Order: sequence, then structure tokens, then C-alpha cells
Amino acid sequence: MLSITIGLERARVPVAVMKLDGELDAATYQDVINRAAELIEQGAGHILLDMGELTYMGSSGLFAIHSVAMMLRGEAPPDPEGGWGAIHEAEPRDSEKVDELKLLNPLPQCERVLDRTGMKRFFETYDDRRAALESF
Amino acid sequence: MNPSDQQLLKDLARETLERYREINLLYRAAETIGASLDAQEVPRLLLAETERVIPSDRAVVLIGDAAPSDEWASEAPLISSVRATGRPDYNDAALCVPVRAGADVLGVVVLGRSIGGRANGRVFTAGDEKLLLGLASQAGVALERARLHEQETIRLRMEEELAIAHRIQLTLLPAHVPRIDGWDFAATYQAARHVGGDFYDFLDHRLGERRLGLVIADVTGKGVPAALMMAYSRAILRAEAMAGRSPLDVLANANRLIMQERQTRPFLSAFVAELDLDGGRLAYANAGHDAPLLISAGGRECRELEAPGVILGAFGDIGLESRDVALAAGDTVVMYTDGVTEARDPQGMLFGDERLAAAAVAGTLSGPADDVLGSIIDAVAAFTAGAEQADDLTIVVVRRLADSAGG
Repeated sequence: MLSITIGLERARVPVAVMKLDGELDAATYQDVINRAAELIEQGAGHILLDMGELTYMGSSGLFAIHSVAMMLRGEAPPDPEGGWGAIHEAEPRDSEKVDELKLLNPLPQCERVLDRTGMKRFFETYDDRRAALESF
Repeated sequence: MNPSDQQLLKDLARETLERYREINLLYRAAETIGASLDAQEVPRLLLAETERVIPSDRAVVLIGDAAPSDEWASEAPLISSVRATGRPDYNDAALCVPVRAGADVLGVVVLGRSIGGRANGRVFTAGDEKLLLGLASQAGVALERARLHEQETIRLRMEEELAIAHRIQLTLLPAHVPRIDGWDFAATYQAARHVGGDFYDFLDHRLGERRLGLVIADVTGKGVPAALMMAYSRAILRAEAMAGRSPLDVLANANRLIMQERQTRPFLSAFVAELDLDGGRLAYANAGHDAPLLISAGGRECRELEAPGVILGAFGDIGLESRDVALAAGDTVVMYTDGVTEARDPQGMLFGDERLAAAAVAGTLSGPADDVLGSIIDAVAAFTAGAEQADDLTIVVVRRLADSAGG
């Protein structure tokens, strides 16, 4: 089970805050991608993922985070019917650090997954909400 | 017999005939409608039977919240009321009864007749209504049966797909662990019900040079897609390793190839190593996989074989670095997938790194690689206490035997 709450904050730029509460796994990762796709369609250019209540993240969760990042970069959103859909149309950038998506307060299990899989180096992680919002 | 008795008898005879006709019609309708297991066909059969049994000018069956066509515009309030109450109702030109399965209203049947036929304002009799209810209830039962049948078909198809996924997985895993003097290997793969994308591999193409390749990997996803991606990823890693590349180059090239896939691109974590069977040196690189454990002889020390790197398929630059470590006699390496550390007890707690390390170390004390494997499997089973296994669980154990210490 995962519940997703959306908030809009105005820092130096408008930031959409997606608060994830519950577990992000094979059963729920597509929800995160779909909600982010809606936000981006409505014009969101920066997303802060609030992971303070996310008690579990599997590798599907990483896939969701990566997909959201790619969508924010203007690359084709994944096709929900295709499982791992067509994410990639553009060539990889020179700098692959993701500036459009940042992470807030991952709990130890999520932190471990981000760390072990090496994904942490691409996403800035914050433990202070204000600092996270101002970083965009 | 007086005239009133005669009338009574006539009425009785007519009523009996009517009942007989009703029962007969319902019986035939039940045979026709009830024989169908097709949710699309049942409404058509219901409509055909209704038209055959109850004369009307127009008739329609609306399943779910299907909207009636314009010719039924003046019956819209009647239809909504029957859908809401689940009880038959009529107006001065139409009769509407629900198609029900238990308390659920699955749809409605509406019959229309030109006004003017009857004096009491009803164009259909109470008998028509009863007959139509009988037909509709047959259809309700048939629809419910069709729905259950469809669910069962979907369930069976899913089971079949999972069986296919499982078969793909099993045929691609090594049939045996290597038997090599001075070394002891053990491996297990336990599929979750929804089959993940774990795999392991022993690459023995350079055994002549006394080298053995080792792979453990986990593809994101479940079921047939994950199994196909596993097959694809395994082939790439094999091909790269067989071309004589180092673990780092195997992973770097695999990432390059996977990143070129536009449509379906797997994410996978993979640990690749090359073991020098004489010298005991293990050279490795790790693309975002859980770091294997190295347990020294006698369980004195347990540490992780760390190396930087990123899961394959996500980014172009994955910062891999080669590492190596010398395995001494009695040393054990435990490679595993996150199905082990993320196994859950009935309360949802994760097995975790510490329990894994403790079970692995305990297993090394008695000796063979099989015991190390067994110790971990037993600890996971005791911990999960019958809770459903959510993800594949894979463990590979490599142990350097004490009597090979000269190498």
C-alpha cells in the first residue's frame, strides 16, 4: 500500500512535493510514475520526493524514481502498458546528476537501497525540508 | 354445475394453462440463457428470449450503467429508479425490471408498448412483469457465472504465465555447481510466487587457465517480463565474459548495450567476479548489487566485498571500479540477492544484513559450502515463519578448502 500526497511549494522556483506514505514496490511504483506524469503535464518542472514515511522501497521503486527524473528532463515518459516502457529517446547528457528531482528524508531501508544500488550519487538527498526546497 | 362453478372451473383451467406456459417458457429460457458462459452473449440471449415470450414494440437490455439510446429518453427516470432500488417498476408506456445477482443490480431489461391498449394505465400485466423477472433472474445467474468463469480463466492464464516465467528462469540457471579440486561451491534459487528476475552463473570457459567466472544478478520486475529480461541480461553478461573481458569491462559493456535499448530496458544489479583457482585471488566489480560477504576461516571476521558502481540500465556513467581480494584456505564468500535481506516475518520486519551475517558466519563453522547455504536458508525460514515469499531468493557460496592452502 502506498499513498501519495501532492503539495505545491514556492521556493526560488515552484516545487511540487510528492509525499510517499507506505511501501514503494512492484505493486505501487506505476502509481508514482503516473502521478508524476500528471504533475509534469500540468507544468511541474521540479519535484521533491518526501520519503519520510516511506517504510519500504524495492528495486521497482528505483525504477519509478529514475522514470520520474527522465520525464522531468523532457524525455519520453514510460509507457505503462509496456512494463519498462520507452523511457529513452534522448542521448544521455554529459552530466547525469539529476537537478530536477531531489529526495527528502529517506528512512534507513530506502537509504540502504539507494546506497547499495549506486543511485544515491545521481540524486541530492536532504534531511531538511526548507533546505531541500531552496536547493532547486 | 351452476354457472358460477363453471366460471370458476374455466378460470382455474386458464390459470393452470397460464402457469404451465410460464413454467415452460422459463424452463426453455433457463436452458438457453443458463448455458452461456459468455458475459457478452447473456444480454443478447435475454433480449431474444424476452422478445419471444412477451410481445412488445421495443425492448432493450442495459448491462452495467450503459446509457439507453434516444428512443428510451422518456424512460430514463424509470431506468434510474430500477437501477437504484433493484425493484421492478413501470410507467404508462414501459416496464422495467432489474437483472440481479444477489443484492447487486447488474443491469435492467426494459420493454415498451404503444399506449392505448389498456384501461388501467398499465400496458403490461402483472403476469408479464413476473415472467420478465423470471427471465431476468436467469440472466443474472448466468452473468454471475460468466463473471466467475472469466475470473477463473484469468487466474489460470496468470498461473500459466508464472509457470512459463519459472521455467525460463530454471532452464537458464546452472544445472550443477562446479566441482573443482580445492574449492567447494553451493548455490540455491528459490522463486517467489510472482517469480522475480534473480540469476546466478558460473562461467567455466577459462577453466583451462584455472579461472572461473562468477555472476549474481537481480533484474527489476516480476513474472514473464522479468524472466525475459533475465534471459537477455544473462546472455549479455555471458557474451562479454566469454570475450575474455575483466569483471569491470563485462559490466561496463553490458551497461552500454542495455542503455541502447529504447523500448524495454531492464534495470539490473550485478556482481561479476573472476576467481583464480590456483592463487585464490578474486577480482570483481559490482554494478549496484548487494556486496557479497567474505568470512575468514573459522568465522573470525566477516566483511563486505565493497566496490563502487551503479545498477545497470539507468545511467550511462556508472563509476565502476575493479577490486580484488585474496581468499585464504577456509575463507568463504557468500553472494546473495535482496530476496534474502528483504525476506519478511509475519509482522513485516525485514531479515536484514545482521541476521544474514550471523547465519552465514554460523554456517562456516561446520565447514562445507552446503552448510553455509543451509544455515542461511534455515535462518530465513525460521524468521519468515511461513509468511509469503515476496521476492526471489538466491544465494551462491564459494569456499576455499583448507587442503588447497598451498596455492
